[in-house]
Amino acid sequence: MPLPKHWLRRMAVLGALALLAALIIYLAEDELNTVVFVLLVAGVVGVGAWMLLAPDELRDWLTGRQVYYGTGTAILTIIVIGFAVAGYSLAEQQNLVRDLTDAQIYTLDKTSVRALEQMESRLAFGGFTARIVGFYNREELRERKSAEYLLQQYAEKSTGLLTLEFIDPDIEPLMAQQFGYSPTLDLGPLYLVIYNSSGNRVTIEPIGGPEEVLISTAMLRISVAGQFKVYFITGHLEYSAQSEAGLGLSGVYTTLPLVGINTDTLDITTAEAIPSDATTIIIAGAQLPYTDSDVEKIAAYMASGGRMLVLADPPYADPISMVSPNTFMLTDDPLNRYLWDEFGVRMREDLISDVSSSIENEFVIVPARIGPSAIMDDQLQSLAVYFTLVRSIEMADDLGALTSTQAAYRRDVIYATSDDAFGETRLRDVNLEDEASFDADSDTAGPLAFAVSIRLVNELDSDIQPRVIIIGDTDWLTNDFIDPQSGIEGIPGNIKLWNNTIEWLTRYSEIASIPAANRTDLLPIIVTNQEQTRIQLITLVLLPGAILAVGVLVWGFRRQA
Amino acid sequence: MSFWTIFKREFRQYFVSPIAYLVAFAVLVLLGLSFNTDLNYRITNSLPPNGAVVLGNFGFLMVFFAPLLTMRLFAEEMREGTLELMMTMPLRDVDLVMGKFLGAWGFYTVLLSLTLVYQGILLFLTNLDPNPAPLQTYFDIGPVIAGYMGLWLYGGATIAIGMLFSALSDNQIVAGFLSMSVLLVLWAGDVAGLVPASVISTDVVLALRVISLQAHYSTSFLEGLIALQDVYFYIAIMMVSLFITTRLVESRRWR
Repeated sequence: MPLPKHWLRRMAVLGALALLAALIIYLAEDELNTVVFVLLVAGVVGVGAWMLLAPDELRDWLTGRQVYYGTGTAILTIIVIGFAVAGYSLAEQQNLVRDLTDAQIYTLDKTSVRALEQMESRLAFGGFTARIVGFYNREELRERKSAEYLLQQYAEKSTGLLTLEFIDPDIEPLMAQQFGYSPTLDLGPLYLVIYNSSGNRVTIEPIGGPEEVLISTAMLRISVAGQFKVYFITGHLEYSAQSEAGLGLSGVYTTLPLVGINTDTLDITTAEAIPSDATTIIIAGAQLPYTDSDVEKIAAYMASGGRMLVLADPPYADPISMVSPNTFMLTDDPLNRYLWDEFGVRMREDLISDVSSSIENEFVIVPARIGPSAIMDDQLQSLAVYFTLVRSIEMADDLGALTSTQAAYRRDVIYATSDDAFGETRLRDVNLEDEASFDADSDTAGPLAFAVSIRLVNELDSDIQPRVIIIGDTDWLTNDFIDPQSGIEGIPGNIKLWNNTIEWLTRYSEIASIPAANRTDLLPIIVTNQEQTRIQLITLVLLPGAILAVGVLVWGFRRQA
Repeated sequence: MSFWTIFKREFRQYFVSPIAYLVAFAVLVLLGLSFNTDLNYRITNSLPPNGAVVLGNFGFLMVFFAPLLTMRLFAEEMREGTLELMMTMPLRDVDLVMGKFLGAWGFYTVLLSLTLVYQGILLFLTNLDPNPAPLQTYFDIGPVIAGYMGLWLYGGATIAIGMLFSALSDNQIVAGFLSMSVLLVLWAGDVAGLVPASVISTDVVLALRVISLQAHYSTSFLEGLIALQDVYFYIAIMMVSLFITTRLVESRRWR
């Protein structure tokens, strides 16, 4: 018994749908899998049965006006869709974007464009190319799209040496491994890769997240690689630069390379001289005095325009632990003498007590006075910086008569104590548990400077531009205060002081630092309870209620009409 | 009879139809809740204001409300037989479709403009000056302007898609359900990557993202960016949908 025609028609429609589904799945999956095969068979059976068992319908359909008009409409529709898709592709290639944010956070800053130009000029010199590689898996396609808006701008401003590439770490785990990318490490998905002329990777520079400041800084790191080097001086029981302990300096030692500043240690007692590639030397909390020979090396380095950070703790011996007293920078210490003769500053042999500007006890000091030094900025000025066991600094300016050498330098107080502070000189009698008492005969009355920056008065006119920062405490820079890795949250003020110090000494910021997009720090919204109640009344009752009331009125009028 | 006549008729129709007021009421209640919840969250957590949040939620609501606004446009005319009557009039099919579309889009624009109340409140509480006085919060109006532009285009695209399904069926419920389903898929295409790879391949995910309505809105307009490709996408969706709708209406002449 033949199948009814309306059944055959339904089979044909279902068959056509199955064929369409098979085509879509095949195009998407790019393989003839079981589902595609089953749909294909079902489609052929459905359409084939209708064609074979109802040939008269097939003939009528093919010669009917529905096919005539329908085919024309279908072709026209496909053409329109084709044009739309082509237009979209063109629009996508143009990548025309208008940034309406007030801070222009999606528009490249001039400094970013300069960073890109700087990197490309260096790449072009050696026949290198660069690529920003982003690792985004299929779950992060939204984030990838967001990043693309910014990254595309770099590619467009590039002379052709910078390209972009996105890699799915789930599909290419080996590639992710080669880059050191892991979503669990939270290091950010972007990397800047440098290729040589043979197409081999020569450098992989981690960028972090898709932020302009990070991307541009990575480019500058490539540009200035090898230009900056900071030496941590050793040989006199200085604080350990590599130690990860609370009193170690690994927090600063290991993070400097992340911004393109290389670090190393230098035993000044055995070195013939300070290396010529030293951008800055750091003497951090030595316990023993420097010899004349050591100071000669330092003097030679500074005479050639060197930069130096000197951190010195008070010559104080804890009576409980009975540790040998710190003998670094005593009055007759050669380094202290050199600093006085050359720069007009020297460390006093004291321990500052400041009851008016301290926390915990009078020896943990928060600066009461902030001087107009070159390293100070609004942000640092607004942050509290903590110093523990501090010694004061004497400045030649306070004595009035300056030698010609001293007069060539400008000394700016960075931090000073309050008027109530004093420098306790009877250090053998000090017990940190008890309150220190001021002795007018021997102690120095406040305010006392304990952080000073020094540079030439006519620095801009000089080819040689030595700079010194001297601070009467070392603890503020240790992992306990700076490095969150030590288990204690880094103190923002101390971190900022370190950043400003190293930037001013190395002049890194002038060459290789990108200011973050000038986005205004958005303040939290403040609303009183009364205002909030009014807002709720307006938005939840009055506005929807008014619309509903008008609707009811309209409905009422219509019913009456 | 021109498309202008159709537009005026359709636009007026919304203001005498209880369903349009109910839609507007529901949208404003839901957005009001969303606005107050977000405001409360920001006050509690000391966060800056963000006028784009309520716009993002409006976009999602349109997945459900656009079909309610459009399902009757052709389906009702077909069911009552007035469409055939209109087709005998000296009126081009494209004028009929464009008139109805612009009428619906016009009503949507009025609905969208009502949400300016939320931005007005935020402006009242904050400041447009990037260097505000102490204790006064700065309000970046850029993402809000871009967000409104995007939402306006996005709404046009959802209405055009809704109209297409209204022209497909003479049953309003079927038309509404079909367009809601398609809009939901197009909305969720943005997050298709969250579906395991064993279910859909990455190529399909990428394709879904390209045609996703949300993907062209959430990462650009709502962030304060107006990208040519996103503007074009919504215009293209409108044009293609309206073209197919016109062909569907036209097909009644030869079916």
